[in-house]
Amino acid sequence: MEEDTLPQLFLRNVNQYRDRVALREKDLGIWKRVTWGNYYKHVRDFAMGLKTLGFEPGDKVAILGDNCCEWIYADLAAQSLLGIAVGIYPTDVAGQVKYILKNSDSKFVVARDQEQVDKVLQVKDELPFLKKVIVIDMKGLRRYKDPLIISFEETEKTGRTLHEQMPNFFEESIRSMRAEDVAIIVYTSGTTGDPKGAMISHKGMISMVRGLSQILDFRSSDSVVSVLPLCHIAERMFSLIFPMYVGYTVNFAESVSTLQEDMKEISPAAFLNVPRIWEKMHSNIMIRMQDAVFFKRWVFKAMVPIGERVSQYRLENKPVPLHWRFLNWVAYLFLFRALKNQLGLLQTRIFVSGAAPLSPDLIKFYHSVGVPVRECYGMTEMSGISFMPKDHEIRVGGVGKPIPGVEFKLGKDGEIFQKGDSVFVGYYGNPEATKQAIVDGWLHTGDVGQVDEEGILYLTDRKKDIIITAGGKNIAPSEIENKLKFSPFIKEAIVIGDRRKYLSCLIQIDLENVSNWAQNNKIAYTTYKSLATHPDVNKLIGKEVEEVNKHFSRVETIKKFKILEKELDPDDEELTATMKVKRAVIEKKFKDIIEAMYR
Amino acid sequence: MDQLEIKNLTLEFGGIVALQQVNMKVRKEEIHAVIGPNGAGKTSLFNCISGVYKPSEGDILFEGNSILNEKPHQIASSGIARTFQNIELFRHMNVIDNLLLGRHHRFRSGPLTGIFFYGRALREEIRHRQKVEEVIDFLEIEKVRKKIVGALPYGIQKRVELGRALAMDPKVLLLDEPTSGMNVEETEDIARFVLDIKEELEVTVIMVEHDMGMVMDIADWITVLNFGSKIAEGTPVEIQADLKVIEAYLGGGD
Repeated sequence: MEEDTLPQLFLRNVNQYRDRVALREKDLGIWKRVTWGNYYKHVRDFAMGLKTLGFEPGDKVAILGDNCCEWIYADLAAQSLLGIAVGIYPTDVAGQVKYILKNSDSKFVVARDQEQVDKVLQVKDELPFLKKVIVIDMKGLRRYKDPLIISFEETEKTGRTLHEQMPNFFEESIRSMRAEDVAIIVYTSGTTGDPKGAMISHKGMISMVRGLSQILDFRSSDSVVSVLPLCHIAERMFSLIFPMYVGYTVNFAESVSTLQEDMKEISPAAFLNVPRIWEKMHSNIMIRMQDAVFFKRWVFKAMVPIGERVSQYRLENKPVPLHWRFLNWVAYLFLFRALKNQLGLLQTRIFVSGAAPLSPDLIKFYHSVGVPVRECYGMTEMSGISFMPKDHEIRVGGVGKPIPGVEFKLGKDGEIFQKGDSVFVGYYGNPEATKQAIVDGWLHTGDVGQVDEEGILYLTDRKKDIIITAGGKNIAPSEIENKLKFSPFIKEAIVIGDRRKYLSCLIQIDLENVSNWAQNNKIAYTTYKSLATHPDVNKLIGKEVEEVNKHFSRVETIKKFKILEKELDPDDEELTATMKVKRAVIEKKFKDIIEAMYR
Repeated sequence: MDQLEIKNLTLEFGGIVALQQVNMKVRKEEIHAVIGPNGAGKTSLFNCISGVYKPSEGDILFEGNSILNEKPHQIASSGIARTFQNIELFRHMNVIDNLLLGRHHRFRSGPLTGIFFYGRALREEIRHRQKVEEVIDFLEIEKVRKKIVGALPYGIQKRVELGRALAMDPKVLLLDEPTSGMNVEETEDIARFVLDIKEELEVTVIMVEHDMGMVMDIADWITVLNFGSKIAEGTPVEIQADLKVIEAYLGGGD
């Protein structure tokens, strides 16, 4: 049998690996293992259970909750029955959940716990299609009388009974699948307007993973920790698509709050995350170093420059001289090894950052301490990643070359167009938007970039985010913003200046690090607001801004800035669920503050 | 059947009467709140139930049997666990050890087998650790399981103390001001846990609480004390309309 779809690959793995560990999940403090054989039973039983509840080919199953084994079972089960799985961010509020359930015509919802169930029940009257809410963890729900609710366990049980009656149905269903079938709908985080549901086919995912696996060296003996929300295409790729293709083990942390600890215990082979997390890890290191004893601080100060020098040789693809290699080994023994262990990345071979540009200073820092992070370029509409640098193609700010199977070209204004089997099928229920996105097979990404003489792509910014000042100069705000965010005191920066005389900036301070600084400097404060409005904090941030300004030409410097008096929050629609800034919302919401900076 | 029955309970310290002829019935699996102004005798009542104070008159029946003459540790073993108004944890031990102490009375292996940590001692340790982990999962404190208690934020310490009481596998749980000193969010968390304790673990909860919002939201039955006497009892709706209660809280109109 040709394996053209994820469930077909799944069957292959089950036959090939049977008793090997496919999944681990930490429960009650212990890593519980699921072999490929048991994995198969869960997916099969749940799929048959869905069938008893009235599931038909083409139906959608929405999955709502933090990452866990059942998330993946439900995902594969829906696909195996020729259905479509729709992931929803666990942090979404009831209104956003309603929007996606309605927009995707979901008949079934798989919800992780009481918190998620409550969101669905709150809006169920407006969802006429909804047939069942299947609950993974019934804690606190046993007294709910709503007939919509059924437990995951119960569904598997009825499924097992049905399987005994029709033992061939499940595998036959999988064999009848076609590569062109839509497998999942992924809602784009929507930095502009409402989220749109991108339909992704099996063909798209498999051609993406086929291309990418020629660049990233995954082995079936590897282990990976599921860190980002599974409804995000990047995590789907690492926790579902890649393991189906390669057969490695996926680990689920005990809870979102214990992720860092659990990472340390597994030490995954690959670590992919968004810039926000890379930034946070860096500022945590810096703060801990400030509080460390003298000797540790000295080691840190002495060893990092060694790494810097060595990483520079490596980035330029030059051989590292022997004495530097020796010094780097010493630095590894003294510092880098412990540091990587702290981060839970001791065994990691593949470090990737994606979804937004990572500050060049951060990239250099990570490379010096032996964490050669590479930036990739991907998007939901390309079924995941489409540009990934090979080992010798890693450049600061560059995202490498397209993966095998993807073609690209640049438009007149620098916009990136991509083509290939991994281009998505279209936006669900929105042919207008699809027509705008795909023209003659070319995906219009809305991102602007440049290519150097080696053919490596450098991203400039989102096309619509580029600032054209009143003086007519084009400026990419993300470059300046990333420089600012490299400061441990600045968590978020939004540069403003489109059609204006000069650039200004809204800044959100990093509560943890600034309050630490305030305590060391004996500055009294009570809340985020009192800290943000404190004149000394304003001075501190002013210094940081000045420092950043030195790196840019005169038109690109920040003339005025203002510290936001509240923290940006996805619940207030200021950030997307992946913590990307929604520029338009913020510019509207803080209009008065912005106007005041130009008066 | 009433799980806990308090009959004509009177407690005196010299000339001061802390409790006077208090009668109270607690049904199985209910959340029973005890409220009243400061000095009304709420904590004294708890101390009588858990055997710290000996009342001068009256009786306390737990599942039909009097526990009046039993020692505090015997009462605890029979299934009545409690938390304290001010946190009473072992500050220099970690969370797991504190919770394991809640199961101390159930350990049967002696120090000698403990030294070799083999056979029964090992099996027992695993069994109790399993229970402790279930409590940790229930209260969502996985992140701090290996942290030293003294270094934890106040709200989490309160949760750990609740966890130690739960680790005892109680039938009745006495909570003395579970939300004192907490912010709104922490209070809501505790309210949710108390409801889950009743519904998931099927444990009867008796709590002293000053946060009236929480009491009115989650209590099934309320007993009001004032100057050591019971002045009212009933459902939250009844209590809110009771003139005597309003008088006790806001002062008399005469």
